[in-house]
Amino acid sequence: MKRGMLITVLMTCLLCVAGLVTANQDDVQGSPSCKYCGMDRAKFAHSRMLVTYDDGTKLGTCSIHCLATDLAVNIDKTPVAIEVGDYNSKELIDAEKAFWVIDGSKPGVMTKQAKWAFAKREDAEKFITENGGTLATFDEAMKAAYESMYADTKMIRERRKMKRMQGASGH
Amino acid sequence: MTRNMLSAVLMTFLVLSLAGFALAQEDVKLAPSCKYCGMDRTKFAHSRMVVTYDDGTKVSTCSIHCLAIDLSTNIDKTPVTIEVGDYISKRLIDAEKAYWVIGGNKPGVMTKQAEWAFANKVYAEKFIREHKGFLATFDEAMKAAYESMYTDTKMIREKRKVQKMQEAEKK
Repeated sequence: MKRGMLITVLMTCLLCVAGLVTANQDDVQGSPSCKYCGMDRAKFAHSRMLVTYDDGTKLGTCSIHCLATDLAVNIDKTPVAIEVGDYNSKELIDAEKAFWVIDGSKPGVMTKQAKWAFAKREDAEKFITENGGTLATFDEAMKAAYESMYADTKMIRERRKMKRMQGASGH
Repeated sequence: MTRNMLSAVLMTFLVLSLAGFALAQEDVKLAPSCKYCGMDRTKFAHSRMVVTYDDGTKVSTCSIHCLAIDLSTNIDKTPVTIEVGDYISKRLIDAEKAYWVIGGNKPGVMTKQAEWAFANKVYAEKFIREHKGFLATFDEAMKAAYESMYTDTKMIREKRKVQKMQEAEKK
């Protein structure tokens, strides 16, 4: 009887965890790669973003850089929700309520100047203590994404060209 | 004899000017509206741009703002030429050799901070005397376009929303 209950409890826990993981990764399943750069959103779950527009459409990107591009392209839609993957848990959180860290020693996604989001302030501060960077709001992170976009676009173009050349010479 | 020669010179000048004008407008015929915002490229001939990529494709925009969006979207192509409408003649000129003016009191196209291109430095300086702004290179103008993109995108979105509402009210 006791053993049966233990199995039931364990199974329930397992299902809950599975449910949570599935729910967290729902957007990744919906758009496994970034619309703009094609990068794997499961690999970049810690920087991925999801925007929901007023017409109900959703768009998944790998980073705030590609989200900034989308917001500049879709000028006839208004974003109603912007979510970002929490750097630690990878869970999608409200980008406007998140604690952002700009810069630091960890290489950024699609940018030289990294931008990371944290659900908890203490996690952001811990990251800064360990890796440097400065605490910022979503608005400041967005502004920084646009400001570094010119240099970033040039850098990304060069990097991808090199990769293509290396790929071609490898065949 | 002198009168005949004068007529011939005048006719030649007229024909060449008309041919030049027709050539200058060729890109507008091919792409009458901006790929990103849909604005009329004849109306904005003085700020329009054309980028030719290494795969031979061309993208035409109304302004440096929309060109900047295209460059950040097409990261797997390399621009081989970038042309801009001369502010005075409306003729397409090499954007990298142009004399750019950033700012000034003339309202910008898709931006609060205007960016204009001139084939001739004298006209760029004349513009600055009359309308303010400062002389810049193409690289500086591009950087400025990206830097103001966050506020510009917000402003454009609001403006277009109001326009749409006004149009709906008229119907």
